[in-house]
Amino acid sequence: MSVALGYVGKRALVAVPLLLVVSLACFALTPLLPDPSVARLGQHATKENVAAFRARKGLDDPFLVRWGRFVRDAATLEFGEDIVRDDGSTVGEGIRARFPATFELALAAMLIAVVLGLVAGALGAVFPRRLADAVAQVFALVGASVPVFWLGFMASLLFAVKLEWLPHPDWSLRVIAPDAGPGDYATRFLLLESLARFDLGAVGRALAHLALPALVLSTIPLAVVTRMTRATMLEELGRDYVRTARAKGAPETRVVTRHALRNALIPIVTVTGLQTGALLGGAVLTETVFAWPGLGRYVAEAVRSGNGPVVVAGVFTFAATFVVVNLLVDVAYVLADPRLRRGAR
Amino acid sequence: MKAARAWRRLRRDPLFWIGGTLVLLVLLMAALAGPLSSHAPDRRVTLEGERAPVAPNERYLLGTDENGYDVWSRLLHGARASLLTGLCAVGLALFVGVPLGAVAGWRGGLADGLLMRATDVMLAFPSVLLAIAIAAAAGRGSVWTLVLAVGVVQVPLFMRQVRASVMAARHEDWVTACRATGLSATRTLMRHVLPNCLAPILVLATLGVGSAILSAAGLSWLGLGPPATEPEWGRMLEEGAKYMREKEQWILVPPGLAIAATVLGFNLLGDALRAALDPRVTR
Repeated sequence: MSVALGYVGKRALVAVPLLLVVSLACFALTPLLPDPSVARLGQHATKENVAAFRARKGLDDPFLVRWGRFVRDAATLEFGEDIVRDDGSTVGEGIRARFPATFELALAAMLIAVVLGLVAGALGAVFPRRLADAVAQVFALVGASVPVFWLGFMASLLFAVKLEWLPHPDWSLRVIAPDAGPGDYATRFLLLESLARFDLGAVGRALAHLALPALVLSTIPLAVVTRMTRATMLEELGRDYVRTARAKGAPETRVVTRHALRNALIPIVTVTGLQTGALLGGAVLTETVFAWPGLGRYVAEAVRSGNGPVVVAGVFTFAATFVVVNLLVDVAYVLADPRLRRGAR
Repeated sequence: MKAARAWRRLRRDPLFWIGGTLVLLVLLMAALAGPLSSHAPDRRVTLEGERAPVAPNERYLLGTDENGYDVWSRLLHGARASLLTGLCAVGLALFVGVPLGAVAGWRGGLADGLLMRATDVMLAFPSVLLAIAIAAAAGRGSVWTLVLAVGVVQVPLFMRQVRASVMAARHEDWVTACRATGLSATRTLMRHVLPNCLAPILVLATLGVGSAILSAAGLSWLGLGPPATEPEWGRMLEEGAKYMREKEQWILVPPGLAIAATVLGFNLLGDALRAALDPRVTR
């Protein structure tokens, strides 16, 4: 166990410089983005006003000083003052208010993709070149080729407008938990907190509103998870230990699920972790389609309104999430698989 | 010899033919956009007294959008924009990624370490967000903004692939033989090693065109691409989005289907190429 703990510590230590470099890369975008003083003061501001504003907000300080300030502010999750709104609020407030909605959407999409992908991929490997295999492969491939924002339109048109099976997604407290008291759901994790409160009505409403965007977003990692599962399972099913398990009379379902799938999980989990990046990127588009009050839409709007600091902080939050998720994935399978502990030192 | 065997495998693959047909159709759309379209794609074509959006009829094959632009003509011309974006973005990624990847794989050491850490950092960004930031930085405006944003995002993918292939080839006997005959390192790399790494690059490039078209459509849909008058599929979807809940779906359906069919075509083609060029892939 101590070896595993050492490994966890080592990986976490490697993540720190990586995050620093990522923050530098994000911050390097700043000079490229539109000048926030334009967004604040308008196109017609006088030169003196712009210069005074830039000096007051420290925009003319040396690059390293500003980057250092960004790192310090990022470490406290405040990300400094929102100089475009200029009302004393911080960029971090906006980001923290929207991150939970994105987190729950991405988590739900990933769960759907993993469950569907594991089942479809495993079926494809057990019955290769049969109808189920072909259907699963074509489905995954088509899903990966359809623009996620267009799929969002079409799905809400069909399921929310025509068939009326699902509500038109509205991720607001007023809709999900109308009778919440003041101070309830302060975490803004609407689904997770309603689960924790065991408020079944709110859980049901949250799931219904989450279903469409999560299904649409899940098409992005689904193809990769399905194919990876199929390929690794095909490999594992050809190995000697599977023959042994069959020879000693283990039922086929047990051979597939308990022997082959368990061994195939590691590459699948790795690929799934790496898909978080694509998933979070897709969240920008999905959130914009469904007017989801998440971080992706916030960043997209900040791009349009020229609020550079929000763009930089938002991109950094996404990239940091990706780094942390993959760190957790690495750590998780070292803890889960005793064989990896020896090599992990 | 290798190419002939790959072609024999490719010929028997139905997915190759489906993908090839789809890509060919889009190429035809782009090539024949002029003669096939019934109206100008970039201005109002409705007559006086017609209230846009006009439903599909004999004058407007796919109807018009709310500005009175003909959807069918815009769809055809949009194929040009999409192919241009996809091919140029991959071209950019190849132009930057292949030499850098080759140097990293061939030289190893510090250059390799630095370049690979750089790709690590680039890959830590969600590609759509990185593209959004680049597009925002480049200023809104044209198809070239999309090419730049989408192309840069793909550079690390090509770097890694080329590096891996070059590293694998570096220690082969025939490379030693090349060196032994007195060929310079550059010449060995350019004339012998890189051509040998062509297969995986070809596969990655084909798949890359599909994903570039998909990302570009997303950026354009977010309003970071060409202006609304220009015929571009993502932009057409943005215009059509206003009619999402109403009956004017002729504006919204064709561009989405066109993007999906094009991307699917390139994905199928890339998959078929991979299966044909790499005998280890079982399908």
